[in-house]
Amino acid sequence: MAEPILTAKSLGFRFAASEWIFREVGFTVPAGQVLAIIGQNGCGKTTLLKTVLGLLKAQEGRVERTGVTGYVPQSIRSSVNFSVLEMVVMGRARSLALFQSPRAEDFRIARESLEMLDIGHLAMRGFGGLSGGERQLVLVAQALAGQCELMILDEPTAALDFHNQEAILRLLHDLPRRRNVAIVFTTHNPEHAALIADQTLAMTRAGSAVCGPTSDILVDDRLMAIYDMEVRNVSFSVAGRPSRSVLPIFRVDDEAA
Amino acid sequence: MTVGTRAAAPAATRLQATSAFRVWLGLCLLLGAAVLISLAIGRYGIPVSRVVEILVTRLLTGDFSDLAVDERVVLLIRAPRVLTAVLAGAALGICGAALQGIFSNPLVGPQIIGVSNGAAFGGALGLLMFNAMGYTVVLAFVFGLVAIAMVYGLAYVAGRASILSLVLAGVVISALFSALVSAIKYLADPLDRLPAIVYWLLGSFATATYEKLAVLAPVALVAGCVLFGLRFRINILALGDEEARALGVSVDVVRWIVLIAVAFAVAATVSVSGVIGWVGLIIPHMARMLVGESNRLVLPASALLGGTYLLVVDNMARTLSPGEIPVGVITALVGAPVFGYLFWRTQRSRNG
Repeated sequence: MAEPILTAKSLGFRFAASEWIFREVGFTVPAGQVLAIIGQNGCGKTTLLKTVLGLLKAQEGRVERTGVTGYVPQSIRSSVNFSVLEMVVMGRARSLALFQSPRAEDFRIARESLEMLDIGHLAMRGFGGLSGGERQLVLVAQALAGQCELMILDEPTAALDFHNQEAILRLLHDLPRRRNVAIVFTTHNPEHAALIADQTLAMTRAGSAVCGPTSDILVDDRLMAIYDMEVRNVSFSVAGRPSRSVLPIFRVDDEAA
Repeated sequence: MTVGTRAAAPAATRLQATSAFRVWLGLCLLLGAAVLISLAIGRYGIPVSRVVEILVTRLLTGDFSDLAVDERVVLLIRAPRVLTAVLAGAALGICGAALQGIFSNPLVGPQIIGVSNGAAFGGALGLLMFNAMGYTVVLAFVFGLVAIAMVYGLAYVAGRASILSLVLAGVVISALFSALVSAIKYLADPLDRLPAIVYWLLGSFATATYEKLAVLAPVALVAGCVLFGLRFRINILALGDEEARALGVSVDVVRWIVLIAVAFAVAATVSVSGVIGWVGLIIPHMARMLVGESNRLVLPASALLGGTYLLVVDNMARTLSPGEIPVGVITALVGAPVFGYLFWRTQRSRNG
C-alpha cells in the first residue's frame, strides 16, 4: 500500500461547550486513493473537512497531513468577479513570498491546470459570469495549480446537472491515476462513492462514524441506517452493459408514516 | 470531458490589452492635464502655455533664483497645493481600494477603521492647545496611529480578528474619537480657536506648503508601495477568510500590514489637509468600472483617479466662490449622490 498522505486519529470536534458534532473519527488515505464521506445533512461532513484542513481546531485527536493540500469549497460566497485565470493563479499563493506577485511560470502552471480540465478557453472570462459547473471546475483547477497531492472537495457535485456531475466524477476518477493525487470528497449521493471511492466514511447524526472499503460500507442495511429510510443497491443492464445504482426509495403517501 | 460553454472570442486577449492600454493612457493624460490646468487657474490667471514654459525652464535648469510674479504663483503657491491634493487623493483612493479588498466588502472606506477620527482628534487637540500648524500635523498623525492601535487592541480582546470584530472595533473607536472632537469644540474659545478647528476639520488644501508636503509625500509613497506590493494577497483575501487560509495565505498578517499601511497614509493625509471623506469610498468603484476587479489594476487606477478627482475638487473649492469652500464639503456633496448611483447600479446588475 502507498504512503499515507492523510491520517486522522480519533478526531472529536464541538463548538464551544455544545454537544459533540463527531467523536472518535479515524481514517487513513494513501497517496492516489479516494475517500468519500457520506451522511445526512448536519451530521458534520463539512466540519470534518474543515478540521482536516486545519481551518477548525479539533478538541480531540489529531490530523497528520503530508504534502500540499488543495481545498475546493462548495462555492465561493464572495461576489468578486476576477478573471478565471486570476482565480486559478491564486492556487500558486503557497509558492509565492508575501510581497510577490505571480510570475510567468505561475501563469503557465495555471493555464496548464485549465487545459488539463479542458477549460482553457475560459481563461479570460469573468468568474462571476460562469455556470455552476464551470465554477466548480475552475475551483478544481485552482487546487491543481497549487500542485497539491491531496485534494479535499466539499460536495463537488451538489449544484450540478447530470452531465456536469459526470464530468466532475471522471475528473476525480482520473486525478489519482494521472497525478497520484489523493482525493477526499463529501457527497449526498452514495452512488458517487460507489463509482470512484476506494474507501467510504459514513457519519451518523449521533456523532459516530465508520470507515471501510466502499463495498463494505455501501450495503443496504448500513445505508438504511445512515439515511433512516429505504435505500437499495440495484443491478441492471443498460444497452447490454451491466450497471448498478444506489436507489433511495422515496415514499410520500400516508402509509409510510 | 466537456462542460457546456459558449465559445470565447479568440482575439479577446489582444483586444483587452489594447483597451487596457488606452485606459491607462487616458488616466495619466487626465491627471497631467488636470495638474497643468490647476497650476494655471485661480485669481491670478496664467495661460497654460506659460505654466508649461515655467515648469520646463525652471525644473529642467534647476535654477530657482529671481522668480517673476507668475513664476512665484505657479512654483511656490499653487504647486505645493496641487501636489498635496494629488497625493492625498491618490493615497485615499489606493487605501480605499485595499480596504475594500481585505474586508471583501465594497462599502468600507478609510473612515471606517477609526483612523480619520483619531487623526481629527489629534489635529483639533493641536489647534486647541497650541494653535500652531506644526503641532497640529504631528498630533493628527500620532492620534491616527493611536486609533488603529486601539482598534487592534479591541478586536484582539474580542477574540479572533474576524472581519466583523474589526469593523465593529473601528466603529467603536471612531465614535469615541468623534465624541472627543465634540468635547474639544465645546472647550474651544468660540471667537478664535473654534472657527479654526471647525474649518480645519472640514478639510482644505488652502494652507498647503512644501513643508507639509514633505510630511505627506514619503508616508503616502511608502504606504502606496506596500499596498501595491500586496496586490496578489489582497486579491486572495477578497475570496473570503476561509478560502484564503485554505490557499495557504496568512490572512491576519496580510490584513494587519494593509491596515497599518492605510493608517499611516490616512493619518498623514488628515494631518496635512483635515478630514476629507468619500474619496476612498467611491474612487475604487470607478476604478473597477474601468479596469475590472484585479487589484493589480484597481490599486494603481484608484491612485490615479483619486489624485485627479481630489485635484479637480480642490480647484472647485478655490475658484467657485470668492472665499474658500472646504474640500470635505464638496467631496461629500458630490460623493453621496455618486455613491447612491453606484449602489443602485451594482444592485441592479446583481439582481439581473
